[in-house]
Amino acid sequence: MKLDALELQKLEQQVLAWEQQKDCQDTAGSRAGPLSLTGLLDQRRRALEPRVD
Amino acid sequence: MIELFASIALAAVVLLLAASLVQQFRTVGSRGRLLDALALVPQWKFFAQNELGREPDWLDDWHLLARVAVIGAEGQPGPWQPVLAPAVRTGWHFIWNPHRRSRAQLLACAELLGRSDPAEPVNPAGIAYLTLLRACFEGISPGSDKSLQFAVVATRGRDQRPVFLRYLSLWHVR
Repeated sequence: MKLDALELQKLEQQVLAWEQQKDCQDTAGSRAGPLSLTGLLDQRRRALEPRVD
Repeated sequence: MIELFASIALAAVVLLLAASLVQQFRTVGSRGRLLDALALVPQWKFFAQNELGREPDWLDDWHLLARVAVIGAEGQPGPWQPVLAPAVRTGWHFIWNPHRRSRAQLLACAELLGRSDPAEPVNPAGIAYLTLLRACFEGISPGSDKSLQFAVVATRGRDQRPVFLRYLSLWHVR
């Protein structure tokens, strides 16, 4: 069962509290340089590749 | 003499049955398992192979939501949109439910992130994180000028259920 409007409102409040507490990446400024999914997948792929010395 | 052995055997069987019945309603710790190393007294678990925790949050329903924002723009991001929510099962699902396993896998990833230690930063290149992020990008399909953030949310019960934000991701582009 999906969240209804009231529950989404409660979620918004918790998200704000989370962002304030973490003082993190979730501000508008940080959206200017978000991590890319492709980059993360490449990072993952590189980590799995065998090392050739 | 034979009657005596028969009585002892009967008593042992009755005792084993009684102990088995009692065993179904109690949790056996590691010490208890040591005492019954041969597992003579069974504990049937049927579909729940692992014991559920005793904390109330072990029965939470998990939701995956995402929102998008225009990259570099000031102001509020868009509203939260559901990507995955606990499904209402119908009788038809008993016969045809092709998304059962993929949904279960996503929910397992959501639960993994949701139960992670808040003090420990989650690796965005981890399997669970990437799986959820990819599902959100496929579910929401934001434009190339938009970034996406996902949230793992838990609810408990059905009526007037409380909502708990369990994990909030970073912002990402495709």
